[in-house]
Amino acid sequence: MKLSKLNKGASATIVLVTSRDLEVALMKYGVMCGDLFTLSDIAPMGGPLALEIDGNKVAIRKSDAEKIEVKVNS
Amino acid sequence: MSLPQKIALVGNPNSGKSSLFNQLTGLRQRIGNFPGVTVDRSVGTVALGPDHKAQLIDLPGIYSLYPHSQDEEVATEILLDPTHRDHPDVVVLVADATNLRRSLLLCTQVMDLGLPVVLALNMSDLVDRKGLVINRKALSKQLGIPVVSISALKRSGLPLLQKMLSQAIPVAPRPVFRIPAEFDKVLEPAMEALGTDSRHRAWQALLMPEEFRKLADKAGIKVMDNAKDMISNELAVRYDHIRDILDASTIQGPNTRKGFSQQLDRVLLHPVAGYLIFVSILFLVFQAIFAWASWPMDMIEQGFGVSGEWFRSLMPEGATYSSLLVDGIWAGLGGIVIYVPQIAILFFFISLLEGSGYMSRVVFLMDRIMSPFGFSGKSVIPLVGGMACAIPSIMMVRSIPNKTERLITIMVTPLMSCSARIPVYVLLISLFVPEDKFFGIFSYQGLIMTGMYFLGFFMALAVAWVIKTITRYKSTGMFVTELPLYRIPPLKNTLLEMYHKSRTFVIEAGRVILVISILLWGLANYGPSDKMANVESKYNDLIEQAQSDPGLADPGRTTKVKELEAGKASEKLRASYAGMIGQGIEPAIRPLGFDWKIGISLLSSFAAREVFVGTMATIYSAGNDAIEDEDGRYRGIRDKMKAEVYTDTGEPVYTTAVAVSLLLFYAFAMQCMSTLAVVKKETRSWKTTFIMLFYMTGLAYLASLTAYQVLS
Repeated sequence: MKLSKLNKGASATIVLVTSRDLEVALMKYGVMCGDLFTLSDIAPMGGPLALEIDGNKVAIRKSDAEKIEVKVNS
Repeated sequence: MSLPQKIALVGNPNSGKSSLFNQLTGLRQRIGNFPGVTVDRSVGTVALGPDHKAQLIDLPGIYSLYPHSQDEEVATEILLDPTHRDHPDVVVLVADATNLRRSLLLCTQVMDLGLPVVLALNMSDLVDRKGLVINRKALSKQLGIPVVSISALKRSGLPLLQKMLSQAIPVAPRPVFRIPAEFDKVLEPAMEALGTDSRHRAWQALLMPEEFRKLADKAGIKVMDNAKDMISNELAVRYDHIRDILDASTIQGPNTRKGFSQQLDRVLLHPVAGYLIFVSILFLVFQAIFAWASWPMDMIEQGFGVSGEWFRSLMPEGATYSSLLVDGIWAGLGGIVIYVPQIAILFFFISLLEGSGYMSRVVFLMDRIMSPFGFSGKSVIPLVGGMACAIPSIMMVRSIPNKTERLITIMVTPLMSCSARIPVYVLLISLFVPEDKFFGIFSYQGLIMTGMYFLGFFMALAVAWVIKTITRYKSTGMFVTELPLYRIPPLKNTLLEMYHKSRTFVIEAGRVILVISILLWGLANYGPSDKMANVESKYNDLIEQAQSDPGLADPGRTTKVKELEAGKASEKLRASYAGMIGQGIEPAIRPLGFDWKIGISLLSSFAAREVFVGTMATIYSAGNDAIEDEDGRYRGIRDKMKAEVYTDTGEPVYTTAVAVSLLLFYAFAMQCMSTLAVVKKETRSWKTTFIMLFYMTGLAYLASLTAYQVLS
């Protein structure tokens, strides 16, 4: 499913980033496919989302979150 | 191998690089600009041995050698180009030990350039709390470079780092990322063009992202078409290696402590509480620059006034140079120094907000609200700061990474109602709004005053939107940012930043301001010599007459002389070049309802908007006593202005239409040379500076014209 569809507090694994630009940008910040993350914060009114990975946080816009496929951990 | 002479600190933003820089150099540092760009260049000296001193440069924070901002481009260029004057002999890679994987990405890229690298693991104390154990020796062996644990905040590990740097540092024996042999054909010409024998330097140059290809363009290298795929591939290979390296050198124990940062974020990023806290912080910052800066500013103003008069008393009376020194140069200097408290206070807060990690949260909270107007989430700070003073606010805009967002923020910040407009608003509002209250508590004058603040704010939004549309900027594009762990910023960093900002303002912007103040002084004090001499002799005769008139007793005589002195000042101003310009521009400002006397005030307001009140007082020969009464309401000058009529028609000059028109003019016009000087300094472009001057003044003209034509 898309990252943008996750609820706050959900944990998931990044499966695929459909935009090459976004993939490279995320990698520079230390985020890549296969990473397990928690959706720790969501800004209101369609604002950015914060992913917590291994105690560190990276924020992305909602429009970018739609380009990220994730697998929810059961 | 010779000893290092030039050492560069390289690392991710928020890695504690600047704290380390400040600890190593202390006050032996200079902050300037890299040529042609608004990026701070911090250089200092570090003592490494009895007679070994090296130059230490703190490069802008970067995540990789593929830049995505101007700061990153500068840092990348310095590392890639051996002919750059700041190209280092040795790199200290400052790694945030709590985010080792990402730090090592940059580390391996820099190592592969063939530069000697020392890895400094910063914030090692925080690592223990995360349950991570780093085997420094194993890490050093895996990477093939020296590794040292430090805490820049607690000053631990610094002597060891300094000792390491005092010796020759070997280059890592083998690259972490091997460039596939199939690229040899493109690499070789690129290496030749760059004048390097490093395959990795050529590789980086071949893959430079759009907009940041200065180095590649200079060498005439054509960037590869599928660069993004190559980069993605390279980074993936590096991360594979890094995983192996970390597996062999670190042990992740149980994470004993649920992060303090995470808990703080639950409050600070809360959809309701987060915004309330942010508004409170904004209020505090605004209050600080608005109110707390006022007493040191008053002291500076009085100090310059008193010392100026004292200088005047030392010089022969009536000498031209005495007025030039006191009213021109000394007053001009005072007009520069007076902004220092506001700059220092704003940068104190900015440094705390940036250093603590909260500024990234501001971006997170405000992005959705600000980006439709072409702003960065950070722009909210300069916009609110602009309600106190645009000068320090524009100086902080450089911390916004995106060039267009920076430009838009700078362009509209002066539209916010700053504190220098207050005296002008108070005087003008009192001309047409009664001092009555409604519901017993709210005054009509206060209501209009509040309205002026909203007017400035909404105009700033509108202009931002227009600039965004004209430049076709898409601020809703891709955007990734880090929310670093919270920490207490070192006081040393904060104090140094306050010092450097105040210093650069006084020295760099001060020069422009000083030149313009002397020019304005000249315009107001000089005129065609015969006219000025006529006024002088006419009033000197009258004053002499009054003094020797036997029919006048003393209280009456002093008043009479004072009146004559005020009349002389008024007529001299009218006869001066400033007066001539005022009369010259009258046809242009007449449709706005302004006469030539207002024209003179508009011109003199260019030194600072509040000068309007003083100039009005001089023109209407109200004398200084009449400017402000106890409750600060300028009744003396207000009554004079209200009584003013056109000599030909007998109509009053200051009708409601004129007062409203003037009010709008002061709300929108660019009448602050200090702001312009700062804009020039920050944008490094006269074009931008003049666009600001003309668009704001044009906007003011149109608004006043419309208001006057509709109301009169």
